[in-house]
Amino acid sequence: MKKRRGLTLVEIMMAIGILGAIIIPVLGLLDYSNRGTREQDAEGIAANLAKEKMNQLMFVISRDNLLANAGTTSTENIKGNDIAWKYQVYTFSNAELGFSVPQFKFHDPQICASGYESSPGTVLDAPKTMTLEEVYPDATAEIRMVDINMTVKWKLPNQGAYDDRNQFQLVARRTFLVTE
Amino acid sequence: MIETSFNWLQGGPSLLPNRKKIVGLRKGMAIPLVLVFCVCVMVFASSLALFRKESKQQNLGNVHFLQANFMAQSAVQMMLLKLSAFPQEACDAGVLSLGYCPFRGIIAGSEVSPNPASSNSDGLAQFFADCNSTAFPIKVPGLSADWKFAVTDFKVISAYTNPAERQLIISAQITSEGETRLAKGGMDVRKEEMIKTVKLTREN
Repeated sequence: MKKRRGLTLVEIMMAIGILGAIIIPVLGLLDYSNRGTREQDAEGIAANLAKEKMNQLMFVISRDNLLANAGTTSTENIKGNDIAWKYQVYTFSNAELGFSVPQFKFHDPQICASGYESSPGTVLDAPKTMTLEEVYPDATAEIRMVDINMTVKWKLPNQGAYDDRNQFQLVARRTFLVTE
Repeated sequence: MIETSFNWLQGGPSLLPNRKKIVGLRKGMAIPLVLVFCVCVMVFASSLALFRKESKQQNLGNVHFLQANFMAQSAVQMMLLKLSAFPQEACDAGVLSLGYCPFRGIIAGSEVSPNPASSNSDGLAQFFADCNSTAFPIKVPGLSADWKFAVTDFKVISAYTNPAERQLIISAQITSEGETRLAKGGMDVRKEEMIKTVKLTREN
């Protein structure tokens, strides 16, 4: 029985010390990880929402509505997170939109026998610049190209105000095609 | 035979370590046990921290992808505007790139590049040369110069004539590239490519 010694007090004290030194920071890390997961979740939701909204602005919403709603902040609450987005529109006038257009000097179709271009090297003339104002003289004021800048911010349920770190922007150019 | 094999249970020579030996093994086990436990906890904690870091990078990567993808879409949008404004020039450039005469019919299903000696792709190159953010800079104030887009290629993939409508019909492929830089998380520059196929018609 003399040899059935258990753990010594020193051993127990040391074990508790080591455990404490490890467990306390790990508990902090658990909290940090939990908070991080919630932040990542909110960021992911914000990214998905931004993609959806930008796709709407690019391909769904009409030109009039796009221009009319610019500058308005909208918010949505998803899984307790507040997500706010706002977009600005920067327009291009038709006079600004001067495109370089290739010019061609094809051979006389009346003497075309083979159906192939006989001298392809000489067909191209110097390109000329034409603005959309020249192409569509009857609708010069119509906006045909805009730049869209969308800012998305989000905050967690326990956050009081939006944090500048929790935001990103999406930029895209949208054009309005002429359908005749 | 069976009885002899269980002899040790009935007081025969024991195969188990005796009690003294067990007590001896228990001595000084607390600290090693705690150390093993601590190592396990630390491994768990490190994996948590690593997981959070990875997850954050993945979210940033998603945002970065969206930014570059919308830049690439912007280039396609510019090209579509130009194609809608100058469809005849686009068709002529496309037909010339194949070596055909734009005034002659092209039999459906025929080889798209029948005569390389008579083709010239410079018209197509001229057509898409200004569909980018260099020729028409992005107007968003404060945006870094690292945000850019461009149409990088425009090529004809098929062409035929619809004799009933007297129309030359061309299928062409627009390739564009968008590029952005995200300052957060060491994401640096990201490029995204986008390909869109369009149908162009020319009335003859």
